[in-house]
Amino acid sequence: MAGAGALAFASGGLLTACAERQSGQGGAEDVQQFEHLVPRYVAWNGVQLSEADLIPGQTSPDGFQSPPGLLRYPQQVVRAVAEPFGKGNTYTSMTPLWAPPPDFPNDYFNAIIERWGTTIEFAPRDGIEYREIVTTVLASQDHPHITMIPGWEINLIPNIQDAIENLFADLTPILAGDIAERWPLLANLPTPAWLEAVFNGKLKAIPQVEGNPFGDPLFVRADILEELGMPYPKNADELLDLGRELTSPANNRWAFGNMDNAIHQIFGCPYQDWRVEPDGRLVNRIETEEFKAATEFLRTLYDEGLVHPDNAGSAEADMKPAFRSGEVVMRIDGWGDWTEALGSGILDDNPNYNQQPMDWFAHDGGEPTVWGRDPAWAYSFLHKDLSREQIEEILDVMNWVAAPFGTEEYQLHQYGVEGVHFEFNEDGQPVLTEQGSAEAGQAVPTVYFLGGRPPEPIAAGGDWPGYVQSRMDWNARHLQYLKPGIFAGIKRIEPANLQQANRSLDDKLEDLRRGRTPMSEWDNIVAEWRRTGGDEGRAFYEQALANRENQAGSSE
Amino acid sequence: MSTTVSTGPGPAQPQAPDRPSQRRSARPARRPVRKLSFRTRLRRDWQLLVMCIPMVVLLSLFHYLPMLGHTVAFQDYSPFRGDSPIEAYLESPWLGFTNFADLFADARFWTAFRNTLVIFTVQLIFFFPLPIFLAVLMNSILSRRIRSTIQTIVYLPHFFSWVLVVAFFQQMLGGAGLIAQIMHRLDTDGRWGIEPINVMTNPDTFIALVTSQVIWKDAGWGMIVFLAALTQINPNLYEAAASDGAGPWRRFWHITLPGLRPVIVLLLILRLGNALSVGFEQFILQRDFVGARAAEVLDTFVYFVVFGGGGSFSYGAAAGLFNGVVGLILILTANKIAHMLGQDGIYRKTA
Repeated sequence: MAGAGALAFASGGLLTACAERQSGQGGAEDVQQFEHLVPRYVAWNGVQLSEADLIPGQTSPDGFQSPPGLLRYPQQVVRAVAEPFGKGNTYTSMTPLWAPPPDFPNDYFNAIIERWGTTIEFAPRDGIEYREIVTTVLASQDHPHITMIPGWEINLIPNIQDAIENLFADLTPILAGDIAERWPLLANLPTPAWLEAVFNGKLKAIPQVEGNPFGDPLFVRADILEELGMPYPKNADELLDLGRELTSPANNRWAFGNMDNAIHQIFGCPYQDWRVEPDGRLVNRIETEEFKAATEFLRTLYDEGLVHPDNAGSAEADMKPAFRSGEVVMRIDGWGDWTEALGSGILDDNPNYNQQPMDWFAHDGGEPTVWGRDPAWAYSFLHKDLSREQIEEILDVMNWVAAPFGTEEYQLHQYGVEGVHFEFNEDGQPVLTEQGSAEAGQAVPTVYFLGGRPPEPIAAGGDWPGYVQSRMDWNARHLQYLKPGIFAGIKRIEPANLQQANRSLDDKLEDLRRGRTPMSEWDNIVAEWRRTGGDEGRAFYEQALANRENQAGSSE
Repeated sequence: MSTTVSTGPGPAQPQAPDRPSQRRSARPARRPVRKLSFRTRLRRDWQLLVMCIPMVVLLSLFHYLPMLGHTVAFQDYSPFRGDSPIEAYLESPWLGFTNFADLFADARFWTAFRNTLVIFTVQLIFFFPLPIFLAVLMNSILSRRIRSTIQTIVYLPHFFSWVLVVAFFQQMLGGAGLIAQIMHRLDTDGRWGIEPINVMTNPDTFIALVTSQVIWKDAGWGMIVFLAALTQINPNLYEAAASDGAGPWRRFWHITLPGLRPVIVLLLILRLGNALSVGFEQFILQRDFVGARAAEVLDTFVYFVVFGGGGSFSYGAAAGLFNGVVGLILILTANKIAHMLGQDGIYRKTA
């Protein structure tokens, strides 16, 4: 019971006036105390990848692990779940998809459902508008049995804490402790990811595991730099010079696409926006000299016209096509952009195409700042009205989906049925057939977004020369720089006022970067941010950090 | 056939009943009003009432009933409470006018409010009259073939989505667009100092940009109503005026314009009712191009206070309700003014 008090939400300013909004206060909880609420980790060793093809991952002194690399697709895949397990029931689901919706049912989905004995009515929804869709569906309280919500959306859904508490089943009684006997593949998911799925002291979801510890990389078109004989920059001045040399509007080439978070890292701005100063004060990035310097640097890039004009117009503009065509040489994006580009067959059109993550450097040439990322990136919630038997049947499905790389299950939902949806090429790499591209292809996430998958090795998805080696080398060079975020292990939903203040701040920062407001406005902008929610956010996080400290103290 | 029709009722009617009708027409407004009983009126009008039922049901179900939802503006509403949306509503605490007080103290709201009004006014002046002139010009084209070809071409952009329209403008006028590229090509060595234009990202010219987009997209479509109104004008009037020596301008001023006036007033009033919603998509698509200070309008403001992080349905509803109330006041005022100027407006009370 002592735990119950400690896991009460750290509220940012509890006000009791009757006409004050009570919702949107946010919540932060220390996840370490929740280990008894989540499945006990039991490694599943059903797959043994060939040592010869494996580049081992590494562990940093700070405990960060980089995934292993695999040079060749396994010659033999292992079947992890022997028999269909379902009771023939039908369940509904909702997952995001950033691609045209697949036809349903089709041979690909039917083959998988046949293996389950449980029918899932897949309903992939437009990923771009997913926040609006999921909010509306939840507000109807007529939501599907399985609802997957990405982590970056969950904070932005109004009153999401009510939804998590009230609309979804508490999985703690079913999943806490030892589950390896019934669901060995779910027990194989790493504990930090499970801890992220604890909301308000209850295990509420199955997490999508983030196997890659590194934040978004700064991609560069290495082939263009090589062709022009330009070296990689090692500090901010060299980056600026390189930008000037590369940019040539007459040749339809600009040095930079979206650079905001790349420049923030180069200038050493705090990961996750906050940091504790030596004097113990918690400060936001907006209050640091580094962030101001980074903003001024970005302003210079825009001012000199080094950023692609379409991006200069909009931070959210999609720079993927411009980067792939060579109109843009450098930009920050998710790691998936790399595999996506290679998977799109770009090497057939341009054999010289060489996309690489640039090595991080500090603006003054010192030790680089490398941002990490949270151990889970999405959560699958189950409907509260499901009975225990129904939840168990769905967890059987999730267990199947959690089969790791190298299993036959993984191969089935990733590539479809051999001979129908894919065939092995001479290197033993599965390659989609025409039917496979149409039915599986871009629709593949519809299946594995249902529940979590364990971290998987870095492997090529086709004939991608040098990809695995180059990524493993980059990881090896950067692992030592990963530092635990100051909120590591704190599950947090920020107070509404802080989020609103940040939203408003983003607009003003955009005006500053693009030279629409003078830099002299800086102090006013900071003051406004503090007044409208920034200071409330600071109090909220100070409380959360203090709670973690107390927790650590009392458990010793 | 024609003879039976014309002669049929003629001789059957005697002369005498004509007289009272003549007397009545002498003072038309002062008809002796004897209130008919509800039953009599029901017996007389029941077919009309039956015809109205589907529309009344439709409006009540999908317009008036949902309007009750506006009351969440006075709540701290969370749709996820209870076991159903109705329970969620009942369980949400009431706040009174807190949301409105916060709204009126919110600088972002006033930015959006100012932008909306400025954009509305500019569009009223520069966009609203265009379809009228376009319709009159179109009407003066005699060749049916040429007219329908031009009509089709100017209607067409209306059917493009805003995404397409904005992308088209971006491809043409953006910093990496066609015109900017041509300018770069013309001046590769910078000898003539040609600076490529980039109107898409200039906050100062944003109003001109969005207005020209609206004109490009919808001027042709707006013309349709006026074309229909033009066909209602009796062509004999033009002939008579022309034979009396009236030139094209006089004919336009004294025949065309008065003929169009009821429609113009009607559309003007409806437009005023929508003064606070100048469009959502067009602005959300271009908001980042020029920043919130130039491009935030009330519709995008409502979107961001709900879905932009730390959102609140109640706060968004309060802003939406404010829009609606201001729109209603504007529409009633404009209608009143129209009555005072002797126009019918959108409706007129009958006795």
